[in-house]
Formats: sequence, C-alpha cells, structure tokens
Amino acid sequence: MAKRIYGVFDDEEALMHAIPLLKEKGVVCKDVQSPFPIHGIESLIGVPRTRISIASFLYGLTGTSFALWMTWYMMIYDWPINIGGKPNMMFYMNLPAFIPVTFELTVFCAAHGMAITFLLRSKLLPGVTAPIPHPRITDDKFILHVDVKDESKVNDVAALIKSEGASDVLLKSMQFS
Amino acid sequence: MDEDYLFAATQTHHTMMGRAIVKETTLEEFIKNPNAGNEPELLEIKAGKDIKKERTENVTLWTEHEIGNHHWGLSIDLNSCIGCGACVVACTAENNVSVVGKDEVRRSREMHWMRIDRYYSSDADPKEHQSGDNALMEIPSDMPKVVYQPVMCQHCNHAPCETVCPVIATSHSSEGLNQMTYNRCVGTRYCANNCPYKVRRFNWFQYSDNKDFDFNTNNDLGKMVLNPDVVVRSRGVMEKCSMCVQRIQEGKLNAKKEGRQVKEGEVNTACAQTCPTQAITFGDYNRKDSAINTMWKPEERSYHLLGELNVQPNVFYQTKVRNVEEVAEVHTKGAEKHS
Repeated sequence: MAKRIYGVFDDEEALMHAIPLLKEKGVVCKDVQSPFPIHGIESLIGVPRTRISIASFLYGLTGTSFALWMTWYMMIYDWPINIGGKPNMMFYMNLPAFIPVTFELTVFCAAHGMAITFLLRSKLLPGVTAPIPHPRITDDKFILHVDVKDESKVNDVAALIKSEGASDVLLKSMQFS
Repeated sequence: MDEDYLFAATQTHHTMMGRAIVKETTLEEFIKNPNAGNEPELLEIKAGKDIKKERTENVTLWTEHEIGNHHWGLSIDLNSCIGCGACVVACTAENNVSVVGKDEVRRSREMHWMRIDRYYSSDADPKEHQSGDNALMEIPSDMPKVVYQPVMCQHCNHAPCETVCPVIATSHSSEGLNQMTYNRCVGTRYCANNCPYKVRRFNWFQYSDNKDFDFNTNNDLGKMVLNPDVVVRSRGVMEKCSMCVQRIQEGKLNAKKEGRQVKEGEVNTACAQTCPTQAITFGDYNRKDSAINTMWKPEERSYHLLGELNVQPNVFYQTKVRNVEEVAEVHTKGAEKHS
C-alpha cells in the first residue's frame, strides 16, 4: 500500500513548474487541489479525459427508451383514449404528441444520472466529509498529492518535493476537526 | 329619467352578419327543392387526374375510431322551435346548473349548458359590405324576421376542444359523447377558447356554495332541490352539456339488468323531454329504426351547425322553412279591410 504525502505550494506557477520536474525524477503525482481551476493542470498530472459524457449519453438513451415505452404503453396499448377523433391505433400516428415527453425524460435522466454519477465517482454524497488535506486549499495554498510506494523513502521524496519549490510537505492530511 | 341601466343579457349581437349560421328557406323554394337553403359545402378533392366534389363531412385525414353499441345524437328542428326557453330551464334543473345572477351575466359568465340564440334579419346586403364596413349589418330591420336556434354542446366527433386539453380532462366516449372529467380539469380554459360553438362554461367561483351568490343552492334547504344523479361542479372547472349522460347511463343499466337492448325512447335528455313543440329529438344513430336516423336527411333539411368546419357533430339541425306567401296574403287582406 502506497503512502500518500502532500506537497504544499504557495502559488500555481511554482506547482506547474515543479510537476514535470518531479515526474522526471520518478515521483508519482496523483492529484492537485487548488482554490481555483488551473488551466492545463490535467495534462500535467495525467488526468484522463472525463468519461461522464459517455455516461450521460447512456442515461439519455435510457430516458428516451423509457419515455417511448411509457407513452406507447399508456396511450396506445393499455388505455387508448379517443381525443378529438385523432387516430391512435398505431404508435407512429401519435408520435408527434409524445415528442415533448420524450425530450423532457431524456434531459431529466441525462442530467440527474450525470450529477449522481459525478458525486459517486468523486465520493461525494450528502453527509460525506470532503477529504481536505489542508484547510488552506480553499484559500491560498496548492496541494500536490504524491504517492510513495516504498514507505522507507517517504522522507527522501518529501525533501525532493521541497527542493522543487514546495513551501511545506505534509506527511498526513490535516483534517478539520 | 336621466339614468343609465346596464342590462344583463347573454346575447349582445342581433344579426348573423350576412352569414348562414341558421339555414332558412321559404316554403315556395322548399317545395321546388327540398335542399333549398341547405346547399352543402363541397370540397374539391383530387382523385387521380379528376377533381370530384365531396361533402365536407365525408372528408377526413384520419382513420375513424370505432363507435360502440350506441351512438347518441340530437336533432333540432328549427321549424318547430318557438324560442320559449323551456329546454334551457329543464337543462338547468336537471344538471344542477348554477344560477349566477345579473352581475356575472353582465361579465358573460352565465353557466347555462344550453342557450337559445336569437337572430334578427337585417336589410343590409352582405355583398355591399365586404370591404370591411360591417356596422350596417349589425343593425336589424325595422320589422325583422326572427330565428331561434337552441345551441348545446354539439358532441363533435372531431372535437377541437378535446385536442387542446393538456390534461385529457375532456375526451370522447365510445358512444360519441364528448365527456368532461371534472376532477382532472385544471381550468386552463383552452377548450372554451377552441370551441367553435361557445358552449363551454367555466366555473369562476363555487357558485353552488358561495355566500356571495345567494341563489338558494348555498343553504341546506335549497340543496335538497339539486339532482342527486348529477355532480355539483366546483370552482376552476370547465363544464358543459353532457347530453344528460346520467339518464343514458340509467337507461343502459336498467336494460342490462333486464338483459335486453335499450329501447327507442327509453332514454331521453331533459331538453328533448321538455320541448313543447318536440323540436328536439334524442336518439341512437346505431339503431336503424330510431327517429334520429330517419330524420338525418342531408339531401333535405338536415345540416350541421357551422358544417364547413367539419368537426363532425353528433347534433344536427333542420332548416327553417318560412311560409312567407301566407304571411304576405294575410298582410294584403288586412290592408284591403282597412281601406
């Protein structure tokens, strides 16, 4: 089990500068936490492109299929109603009337599915405390997550991070109490 | 006498503005041609290379729905109607229609499920006023000819009101009735706006149980007069003629209990039952021998109100035929006597 330590940086310039150098030296940079989004940081620490759009498409497809099935079942199969003499013998005859429902359910499922998936993947759910290694990442500090495989080398890696511009290195996270 | 008084009237226009809303003809014309005054609206239909003319009610884009065991309808003979208003009273009593009072009538909020339109003839020639000046056509003649036209829900098979309801509060029964589902209605009033016959009524206040509308249904004694077979509608709900569905239902259930078909004349609507001149006839189109089936003669006097809309009503009217010659004779004889 790898030991996770946290490099504390004072500004994002220093952090962006340090990451490629650390990587060159074989330091495993897993994540960055910062008070604001830093452009280009994903490619530096090697975060892959999000797959939430694929998930969203699948959820949307679920919504579409559900809406089409539901309108067919309710309005054509189970309880057809004569509304103004309009033909409802076949599904395609009434399809234009079902488009709004289908659209709404597609958007509903895609949006909710996407949000819930994001929360689950981020391990954020109502009642869960967000893992914040250092309270000042919400203010003016930048944290680099580093995994050290060999626990005996923790101090060496910490020194390395410090030498590349970190103002401090935390050996365990400082949670809010 | 320098005072203004605002009348409470349900009809504030007096002429048909040159349109043939009520179809009428003279006896002379009628003897020559039974279809006089009731010339059908014909649509030009392309059939291959030929163009054939087809009556509007025979033209449809849609596959028709199946009609069940019964297909209820009304016939209204304008020749017999004397405009007495007994049908309106009967309908009001039968269907617990709220009395709303003068002030609401002035705001056009009357709740009558059926009304009698009265039109005066006008001397103005509609062709002269096509340019847009219609003011003259609104003025009736000094000695106008009068027509009465009872109008209730026409129970259209292609009902414009049903298609616009966002909550399916109004739908068509398999027996050709245009039904209201009161507890589903959310009061958008789209249906009333889309009804070409203006027969839908919106319950603005709970007239039946409201201390501001003290017309006897808001106390215990007055409530005993209400018909127990008909629901009392509440506020914010659209209501309209149900073709006395409670009577239809009763007739059907009695027949079912006795294991037989509903007999002709067993079921009747309040308006048809009350009409002193029997101008209104209720019946089942699905019975070959029913009065309403034998009365439907589009090649003679029968027509649908605003037939050009092709909403396929289950209510039809019969052209009014005037014996103008006899009237003229009486006039000339009277004139001779006086001279």
